[in-house]
Amino acid sequence: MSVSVRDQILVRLRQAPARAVGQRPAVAPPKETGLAREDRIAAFCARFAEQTGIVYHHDPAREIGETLAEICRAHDIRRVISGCDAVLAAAGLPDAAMDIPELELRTQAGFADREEFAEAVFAWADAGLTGADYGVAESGTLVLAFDRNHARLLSLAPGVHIAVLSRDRVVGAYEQAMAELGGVREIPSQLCFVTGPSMTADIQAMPFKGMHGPGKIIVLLV
Amino acid sequence: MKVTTEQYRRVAAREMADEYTQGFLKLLPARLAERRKTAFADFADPAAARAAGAAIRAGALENLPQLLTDFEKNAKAAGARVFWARDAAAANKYIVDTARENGISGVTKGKSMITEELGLNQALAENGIHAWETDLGEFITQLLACPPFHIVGPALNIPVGRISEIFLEKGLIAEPEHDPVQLGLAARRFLREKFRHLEMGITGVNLAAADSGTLINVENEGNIRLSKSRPRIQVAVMSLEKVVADMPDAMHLIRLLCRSCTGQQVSAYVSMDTGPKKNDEIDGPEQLHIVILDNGRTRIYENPVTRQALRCIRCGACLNACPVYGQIGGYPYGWAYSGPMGQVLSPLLLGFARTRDLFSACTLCGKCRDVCPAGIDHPELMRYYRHKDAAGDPDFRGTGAPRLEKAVYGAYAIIAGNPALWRVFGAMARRAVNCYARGNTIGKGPGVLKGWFAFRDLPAPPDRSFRDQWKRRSPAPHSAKPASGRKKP
Repeated sequence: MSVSVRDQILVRLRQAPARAVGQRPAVAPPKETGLAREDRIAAFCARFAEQTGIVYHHDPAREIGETLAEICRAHDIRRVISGCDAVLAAAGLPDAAMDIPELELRTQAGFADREEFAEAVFAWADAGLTGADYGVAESGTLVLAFDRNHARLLSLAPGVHIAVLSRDRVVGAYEQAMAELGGVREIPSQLCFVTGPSMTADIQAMPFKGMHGPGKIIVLLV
Repeated sequence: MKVTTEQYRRVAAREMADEYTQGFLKLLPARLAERRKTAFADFADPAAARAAGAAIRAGALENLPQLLTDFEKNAKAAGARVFWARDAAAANKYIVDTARENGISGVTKGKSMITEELGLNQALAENGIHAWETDLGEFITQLLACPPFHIVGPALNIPVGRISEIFLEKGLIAEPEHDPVQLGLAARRFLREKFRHLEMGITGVNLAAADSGTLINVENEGNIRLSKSRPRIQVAVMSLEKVVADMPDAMHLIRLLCRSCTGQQVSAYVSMDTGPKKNDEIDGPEQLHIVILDNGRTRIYENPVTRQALRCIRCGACLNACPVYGQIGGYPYGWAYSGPMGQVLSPLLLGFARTRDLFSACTLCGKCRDVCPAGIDHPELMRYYRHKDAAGDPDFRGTGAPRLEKAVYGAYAIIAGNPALWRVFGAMARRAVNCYARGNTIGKGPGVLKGWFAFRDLPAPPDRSFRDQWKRRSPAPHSAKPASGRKKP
């Protein structure tokens, strides 16, 4: 029966009289697409900070584990669930975090069952640690492509999201991130733009962070 | 939700007398309009950006059957199940059946105007399934059983005292609480338990990209992401006009939507789903059901004039620009869609008999059109509805103008179409109306005209018509030749 409803709808739409469509004016790409690399990274960081995001610049002379330990100490994070995605791996994570003494670390690969995993991200973890596939300078946005090594709830259920972003992956505009992503992998089941913490202003227009998702978002720039 | 569009006048009068609403309306629309303006300033050419949005939406509609076919094919290839629903009843039945087959007793819902249109919560409740609204504003309006005040913040106008009372009653808090942040956090704790355990999530769709079969949701709170990530079953309800050609088109519309809606460059979360989770993923839905809803939209589409109403991307910029909304707020519009958006959509979806007051209550000032990122000409539509309603067009369930109005305009059409009659009528009318003149203005009229003059004055017409005066002042040869006899050079 649904097939016939489908066809009826499509037939009626096809038979409807056409209406002329005007010319689409050219729209200049966001100005951030024209920035040099360091300026682009600076623009990303500035926009990300406007949304109360916190940026840590990793000093390549240090161990990545040290920087992560510093972040966890500063934000009172003791229990972390980590993804196992390629961005993290390239930065030496989560392996390098295993040695941080005051940190309890679990990785999503350690969960066989979705229920067990969900309980951990909702009720156990202080923070979720993931890679970010891209940073977009035009609005200080992180692009997350989810897959078997990067679960959706890591950046959503715990109170803090720590995202590792490579300086090589900061682009000017959304379209650039999408195009690059499309060139290297199949379309993910979900792709997400994250710009700042979860927020609302639904009561008396009083804004606050952490409505349903993380109240704090931290980028570790490597 | 209950439709109360026919009570427009009564509710509008109540809201205009309500000090709290009035105080609120003095602040909110202006503040949102200002934020929108600021956000648009970072486009290199804001006007071109808006015109491009209009062109994308218009182009997508002209290509709609093809885009829908492509969307369906690609979404199915990614593993989604697609159901075409003719009307609200069919959509609701499909969703209820899906819940039952999977043994679901409760669902989490992301904010979605389309499910308000369907009355989905009611349909689920009748089948013993509780739908939890999880957007903070929607959650509060659901508990209070009141309609949305504004599309961006449906409960923005509710005083904290009332929220505190209902949260106490429902056991969300133990002591009265008047801090908006603490109230919000109480709702977070309460709804987090729902997200943790419920196995079905229902969301609307902001946009869909045909070339990849991708669904896009725009939000700030994370409740939509949670509804799409935690449960085993996801249902996305999409009215059939939401589809655009591809991701670049969608990206531009997202820039416009977020700026127009809350004045953000982009909302906190924009999530894009292509099919259900892959087999090896540890979270995300195992089943993704996409309900493509018609519910009267093919009829709206078939008429090339009303088709433009389907361009709407539900940003709410028109509400903030509208001088009428600014006086009465969202309640009088009586349904899911308020402000100019509601004045344009509700009459088409519900028929004119119940919505006549909506399109009558418009000054045709055009401020909504000036801010619309989809290029909808609201005043054109409003005039069109008035015309169709007066003509009693059955396609719109118009009932026709009252007999007296018809007789008056019928006679006027005859007189205005005949120069000799027009001159006689003009002379008579001039004399008649000047009986009511005080000095140079007419401030009142007899009988049915009393109402019209309640808020308006007319300048008193001079004793002689323009043509008369022209004749007297001009030399004889010209007066013999009327203007219609213009010679070619």
